[in-house]
Amino acid sequence: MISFDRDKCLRCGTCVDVCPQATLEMGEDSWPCQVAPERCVECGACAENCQGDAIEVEPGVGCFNAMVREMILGKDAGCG
Amino acid sequence: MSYIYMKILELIPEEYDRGIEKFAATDFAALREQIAALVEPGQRLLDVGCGPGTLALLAASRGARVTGWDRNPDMVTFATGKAVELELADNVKFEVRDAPSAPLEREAYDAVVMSLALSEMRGAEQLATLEGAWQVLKPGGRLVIVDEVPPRRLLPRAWYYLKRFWLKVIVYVVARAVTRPLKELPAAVAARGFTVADERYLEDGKLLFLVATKNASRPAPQIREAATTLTPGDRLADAVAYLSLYMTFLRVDPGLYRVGSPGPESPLLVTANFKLTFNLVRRALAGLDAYLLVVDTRGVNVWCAAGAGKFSTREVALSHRAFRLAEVPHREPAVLPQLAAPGVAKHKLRGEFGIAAAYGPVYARDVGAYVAAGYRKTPAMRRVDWGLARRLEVTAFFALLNAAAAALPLAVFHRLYSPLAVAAVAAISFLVGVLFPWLPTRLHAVKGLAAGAITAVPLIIYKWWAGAGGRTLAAWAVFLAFAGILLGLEFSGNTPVASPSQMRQEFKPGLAALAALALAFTLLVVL
Repeated sequence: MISFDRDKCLRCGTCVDVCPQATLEMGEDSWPCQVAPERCVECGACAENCQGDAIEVEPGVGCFNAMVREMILGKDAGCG
Repeated sequence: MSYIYMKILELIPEEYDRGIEKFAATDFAALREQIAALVEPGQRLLDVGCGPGTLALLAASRGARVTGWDRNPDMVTFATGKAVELELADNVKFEVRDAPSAPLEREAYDAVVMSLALSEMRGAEQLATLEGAWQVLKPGGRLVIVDEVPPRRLLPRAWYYLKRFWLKVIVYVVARAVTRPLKELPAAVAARGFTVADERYLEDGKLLFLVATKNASRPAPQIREAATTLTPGDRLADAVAYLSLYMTFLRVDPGLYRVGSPGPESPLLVTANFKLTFNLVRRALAGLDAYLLVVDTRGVNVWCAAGAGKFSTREVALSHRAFRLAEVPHREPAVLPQLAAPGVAKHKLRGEFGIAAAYGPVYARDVGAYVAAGYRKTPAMRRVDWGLARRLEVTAFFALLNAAAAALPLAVFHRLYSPLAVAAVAAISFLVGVLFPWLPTRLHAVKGLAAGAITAVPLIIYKWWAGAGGRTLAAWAVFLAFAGILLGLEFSGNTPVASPSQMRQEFKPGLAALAALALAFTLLVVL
């Protein structure tokens, strides 16, 4: 899940623009909010592109194969 | 062995020079003298990949004003200490810099030296570093390169590659790094806008010493053509690529391509160098005039490369430099694939590298509409598609590959081998994908287990009807449960909806269940 710090948010809307699961939306009050947290895949796109550093996501890969490779070959093996 | 030794030396600044000299017949001290003599007192020298700073300090002691770059902070600390010790700190400064993406002072240096630096880099990094040298040099300034090259004569060359293959394997295991000797380096230097003044080969042709001067002008950047139709060869490569995410050897050369006949108002699109990705993108661009910057993601697709840090801010920036995008007028901002966003920070591209970028649609098929709408996305363009058609497409290849993978070990090792087992693996793979949203829970292992159970119904009935005993039926049930859980977990890498926290949650229990089922299967079959 992502955590979101309103004090740092610049309300630029980039996080909404990069979310591939439409889990973020610009609310009526013009603050971004996570409308469907169950759809969030924690890809980190919103955090990486947040100018205010207002979003935190614990990074990782949602891929069993990559996790097995990491277990065997070490941290950076990951995908591909 | 010298190759492995050198890789280890890079970890130890104090020993680096002595270590290298032990293994080379070349008189490096004399070579350094020659290079230092190219720079007059008061002139500025940039040492790219300065290591422990021996050359930089020598040049500084002769009156040159030197900047040394190294990406290894230990080397920079060591070299800075040496400079203080030798009272040369006024003439030389050492900085931790990533040469391919480092900020550049234009036309500030009289000479740039790169000693055993380029061979540490990938092709696109090498080109970006050479481009950096061109930009920081004053017109007529000198570029000096000392580096490892493959021998030019045929037999030594063949022997060299044969030997290196094994060394590469060993070094990768020990140091997780490889050195890439530069092919056709003099030609690459000349194409960048230099005149090669001196080109000598040392160490039986394995070490190149090259001096080149920067030309006042140079030809326009190279732009290759990307056809919007695929050849039969392209289609074959696509079919192979579809089988697995690990077909990373199917790559295209990173570089700047054009679709149609683009001009200053045409869009610039950025993409990955996985062949399947490149083929999808260029096909989708039929009818459009556009530039296409292909970034070196090492043969990985956009989404996976972004997640693994291969499609990164740095990679886009260094590709932009290497392929001289600043000299190719195009419509701004550059359009990045939206799925690159986990690895690329758009505001950093602008802030640190002066590159204006925007995130385009998730799918290349929407690029035309996005461009026509003035770089505006509809909500649908932002969203990853996981509908039935998409799942069928993914699942067909997933099932095919798994069936093939299952056929092999079963055929070789097991007396239980039967076409039925292979068919079961294909069926489970297919069901996991197609029924994905309707299978119970969010856990892939459980979804897989359910697909295994569905497959088990007709299979167990058939076996029972054919007269199989209780033990055989139990072995089949265990096998199907094992295959279901494994294939369910495996499928996570094929979906765009698996989250890391969820995968962490089911990873260990999943492995434990697999181990238990494997044990049960062995007991049922062997005893």
